[in-house]
Amino acid sequence: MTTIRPRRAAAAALAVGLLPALAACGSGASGSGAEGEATPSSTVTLVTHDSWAVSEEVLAAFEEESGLTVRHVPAGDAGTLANQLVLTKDSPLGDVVFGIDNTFASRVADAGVLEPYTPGSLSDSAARYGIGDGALTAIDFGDVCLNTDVAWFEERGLDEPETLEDLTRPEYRDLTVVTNPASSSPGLAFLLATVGAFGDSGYDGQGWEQYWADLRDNGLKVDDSWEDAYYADFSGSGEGGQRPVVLSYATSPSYTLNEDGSASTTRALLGTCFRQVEYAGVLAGAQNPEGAKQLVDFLVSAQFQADVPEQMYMYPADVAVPLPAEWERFAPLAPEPFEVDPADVAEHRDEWIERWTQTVVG
Amino acid sequence: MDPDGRRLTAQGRGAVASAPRSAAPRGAAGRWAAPLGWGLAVAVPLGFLGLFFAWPVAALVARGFVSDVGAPDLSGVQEVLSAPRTWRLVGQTLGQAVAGSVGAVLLGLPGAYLLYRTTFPGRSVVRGLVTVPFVLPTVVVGVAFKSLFQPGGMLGWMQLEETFAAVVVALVFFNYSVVVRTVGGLWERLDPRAEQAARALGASPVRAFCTVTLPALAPAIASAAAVVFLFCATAFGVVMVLGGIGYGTIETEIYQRTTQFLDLRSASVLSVLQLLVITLALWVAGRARARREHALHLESDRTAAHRLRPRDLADGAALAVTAVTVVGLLVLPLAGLVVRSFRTPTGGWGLDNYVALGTTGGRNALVVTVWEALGTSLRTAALATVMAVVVGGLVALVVSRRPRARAARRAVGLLDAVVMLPLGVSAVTVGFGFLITLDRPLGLDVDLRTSGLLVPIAQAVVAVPLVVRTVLPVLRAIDPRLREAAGVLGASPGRVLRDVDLPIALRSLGLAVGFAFAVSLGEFGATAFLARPDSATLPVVIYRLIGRPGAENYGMALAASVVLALLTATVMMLAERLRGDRASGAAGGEF
Amino acid sequence: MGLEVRDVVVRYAGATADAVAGVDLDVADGEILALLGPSGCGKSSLLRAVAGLEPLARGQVRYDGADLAGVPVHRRGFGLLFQEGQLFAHRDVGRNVAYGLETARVPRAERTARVRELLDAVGLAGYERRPVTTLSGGERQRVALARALAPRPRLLLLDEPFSALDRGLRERLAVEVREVLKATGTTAVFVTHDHDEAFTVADRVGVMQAGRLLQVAPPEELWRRPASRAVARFLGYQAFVPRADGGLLAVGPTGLRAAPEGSGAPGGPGEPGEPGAPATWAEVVGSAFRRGRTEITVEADLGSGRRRLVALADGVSAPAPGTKVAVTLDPAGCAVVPD
Repeated sequence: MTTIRPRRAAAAALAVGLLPALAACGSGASGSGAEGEATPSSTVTLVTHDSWAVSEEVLAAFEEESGLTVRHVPAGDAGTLANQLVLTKDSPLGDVVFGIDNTFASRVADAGVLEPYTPGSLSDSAARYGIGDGALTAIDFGDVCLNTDVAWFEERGLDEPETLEDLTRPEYRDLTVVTNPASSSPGLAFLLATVGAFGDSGYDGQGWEQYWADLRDNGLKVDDSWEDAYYADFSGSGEGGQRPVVLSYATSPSYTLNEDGSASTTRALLGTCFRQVEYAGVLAGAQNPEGAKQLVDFLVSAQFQADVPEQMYMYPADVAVPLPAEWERFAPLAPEPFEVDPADVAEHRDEWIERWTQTVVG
Repeated sequence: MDPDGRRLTAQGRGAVASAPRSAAPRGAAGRWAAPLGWGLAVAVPLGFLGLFFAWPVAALVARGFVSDVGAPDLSGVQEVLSAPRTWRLVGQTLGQAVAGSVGAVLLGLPGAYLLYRTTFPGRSVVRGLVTVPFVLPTVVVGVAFKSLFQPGGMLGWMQLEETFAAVVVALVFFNYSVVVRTVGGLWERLDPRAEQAARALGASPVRAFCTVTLPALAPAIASAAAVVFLFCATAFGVVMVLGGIGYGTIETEIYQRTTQFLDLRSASVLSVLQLLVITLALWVAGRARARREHALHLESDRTAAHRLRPRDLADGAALAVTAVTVVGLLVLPLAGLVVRSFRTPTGGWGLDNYVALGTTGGRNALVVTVWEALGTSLRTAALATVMAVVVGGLVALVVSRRPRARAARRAVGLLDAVVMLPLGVSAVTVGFGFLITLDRPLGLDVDLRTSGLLVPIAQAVVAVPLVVRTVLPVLRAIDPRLREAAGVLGASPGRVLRDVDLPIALRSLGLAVGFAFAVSLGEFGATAFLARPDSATLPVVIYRLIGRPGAENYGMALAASVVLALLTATVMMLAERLRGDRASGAAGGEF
Repeated sequence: MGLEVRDVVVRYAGATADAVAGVDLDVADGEILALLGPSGCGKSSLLRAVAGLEPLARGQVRYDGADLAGVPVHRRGFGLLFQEGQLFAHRDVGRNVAYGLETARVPRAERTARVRELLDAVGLAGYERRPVTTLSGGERQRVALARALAPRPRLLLLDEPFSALDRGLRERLAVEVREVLKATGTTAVFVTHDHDEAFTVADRVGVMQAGRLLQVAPPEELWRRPASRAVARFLGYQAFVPRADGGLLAVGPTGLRAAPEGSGAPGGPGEPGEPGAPATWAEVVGSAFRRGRTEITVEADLGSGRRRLVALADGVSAPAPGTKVAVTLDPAGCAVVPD
């Protein structure tokens, strides 16, 4: 660190003149002009992954009622978000986090990033998902599943695969594309699905690694990102892809309805799913801990929970909240998703990815 | 008739004779103004880059070399360096960088000739067009290329899907304009008489080119190649999308180690390794540029472009190669993008995707509309441009001087090399470095990490090297006697800057502003994983749209990309105009 | 009082020898001094040191008695004219000339009048709005001269101002510049490597070699009485013949004449060191017709060994190479220098 000090001294000279000037320019550009009026305790900062969304009216109603101003800071995908939080635990980015999922939850909770808090009004269904000594509150969930291109199979008179094992059969050779668990969160979820399904002793006693070896030998394609797999390789997205089986979400088929909206051109294979649960929590060292608690209360409230399906396209953790009518048809939940104990995930995640890489990439 | 032959008139002489002497010297007041001014000119860029680049990077890398209990921990070094995977990554990094640079130079040379040595209708449009890829978001380009290469795609027959070659082709696509501009800028002003002399001495056109023109261009070529090498070695999006599984570079590995595993131990070792590779490239570039200063003397005052003669062997060959390159490498992927953007979600053709830009996407994929994001992008880019131009302009100013003291000259040379580093250091290292350093920068109570300023600052850090490389050659080309002439006429050093350097640099500053603005508009690497307040830029919005299923969102992403490409091309074409006349001897920069 | 240069040394980093190695020089008020020397002799460095563009390694530059150490370039009140004029391409002619007036905060009306006056003086009346890029080389130098003179400098420094121009123009401008400088009473130091130019423009000429000032004298005196063999050789004296008194007779470019045909055979080498000495035989190598007279190149031995010399051949038709002619020394074209 000694090499850094002189730079700090040099930087200090700059800071005197430049920082206030920058701050002055920035307030216009960032649209955070409201900050000036609001006292610190009336602003609460919400750090999320990039997929966060909420209806303006719902958020406005909360702000109105609580007297708080919510400042939103997106910080990358779920993995990046989790790692940013761990890295900044001594000086948190905000007061509340939303978007930690069950594949990263333990890492965040174990690192002492969160302040234990459980909302009083938590529904039983949400409480069931609670992990990390009550520091993480489940807000919503969804299933990561393989999707198929219905028309592709119909045209060829081939039955669609239904189970994980089906994909290793010769008739499904060169048909599947998934994503890399090291770089994509659905990829990691799917790896966990196979770990949950086979463990070390399932798959006829050969364990999940052998399953992946068989998948690989059956012409599996692995992309680095979901965008890449879904749009470039999946035939069902209509962008010229060649493979009719892709790793995506249980809700994805509702995006691919035919012209009259009567049916979807894709289908989720509900026997191949891993359940992703997204959590919120109060950050340790929050500037506004009281506001943070109110915000978490709001995230589990009926208004927000009802807003989740339309905004983030996830299932609200509170199952009592009514769902949009068409979800039953086009976005059903897996009846029995594969599960892995979060503590196991925390302990073995990096090792599993390493083993997966050895097996599939070589 | 001959104005030179006119005599100084007697009447004039009389008038002058009555003139009194000039006043005595005004004394030595303000003796401290110059050192203070130069001190500031050095301190501001160093402060900016120190605070927003060196410190964050050093802090993050340092964490990787410290164990949990705070003791120095170098175990990662041996672990990483002894892993065969590491050396495979280094090999792939070097391989793609070398191949990308060679490809860009081979294709870029004819392009530089055609676009800077000949004139034809629509030349400025083509010049603008070739710059577009340089600033397009890689996500979009990656997907566009991928759909070209995959089986059933337009270039599927080449069987390049997920190959090293596909990555290299895309890298050449991105960096073609670097070579065209850098080499073209010099070639444009190369005195054609040297080559004519060689021809008169019996050299064939090819021989004359190889023995006279090529050596004269060598410094510019080497300089461009080194910069392209830098971009290729640190390319991220393209490698992720096109490389396929198992293919990776130091850059992608650092990204995964940091964002997914938080394995700072390995990431730090890799960052140091990357820095070594980059420093080597910069050293080569620095030497090439030093030689280029001499090359500048070869330039003639006026541009030496001639009308394009397609029947001429050289012109014809350059035209053919460039046409194939521009059409095959630039137009095809871009056209695919444009055409696709007009396909409606229901499978027909129309403007639906563009109309949808006023919405927040299918099922509210976005928080803001694309137009709102465009507004954010423009504001952010404007702010980033101001910062980059101030910082980069000052660096160029300082580096353009040759101080008398040897040590000072060395320091200036070092500054010249150091400002290039932001192009060679992983954006994720910088971004994560921000997280652990900018919560209370310099003890000030401003959490910059979550302020709206961090995004333009990160973009400015990336744009500064481009501004420097654009403005510096012009400042260096100013005859020092011009400044002396002003000084003798009573202009203080500050006034010399204002009256001599500034007006001449302003033309290249136009181009620098254009570059900084365009790069900021397209910047995605750092912006994507920076914690930022609720104001997504256009590339972030495009990424988000493409990250959702549904033809509607995908179509919007493509339409938004076309808007971004158009905007970029327009900015670059305007900047090109601002270059103005070259009568002052101003070169066009290195990009 | 004017300019006083005392023991000035200019040294460049990394150079083996000093560019200016201890020069003393005085230029009186209103005087024009030319510094003459081959390229690299240090004359430009000396000029730049006077202007304040090069730091002094040693010595002093004073003007009107005041030491100029620590006075920056722009506060010296000097003018400087470069070889290529160094006009500001982004300003038109009028604004180039006005530049020094702008820095001196001269009111606009006065500025405009002064610019017109000077453009008039250099023969470019009405050129105010012209872009400088459209000017010819000679016009550029005139604008540069007008620009340098506009702020009424105490001292005008001219650094090879005409060497980029063609010969005829150079000669005309040299005369005109002297007229303007004299008319304005401007003190000036003029650096050149061209003898004719120096002798045309200057009141006194200083000869520099290897960083040292060898001699400063009015043109006529310099020519008549070179202080040393080095000065004489630089001025163009072509042969040095030892004299009985221990000195050397320097034979100038016009110091040797071919005797008209039939003027009699030379009476043998009598005392060759004496002007007007009897003619000696020389063998013709070639001839050229320049400036209205015939110059023949001969090989002859004037007493310091056989060497190639140039002789004027007035009234003699150019002899064919190989023929022998008689040559005599012309006292008017010779000088005596110490050995």
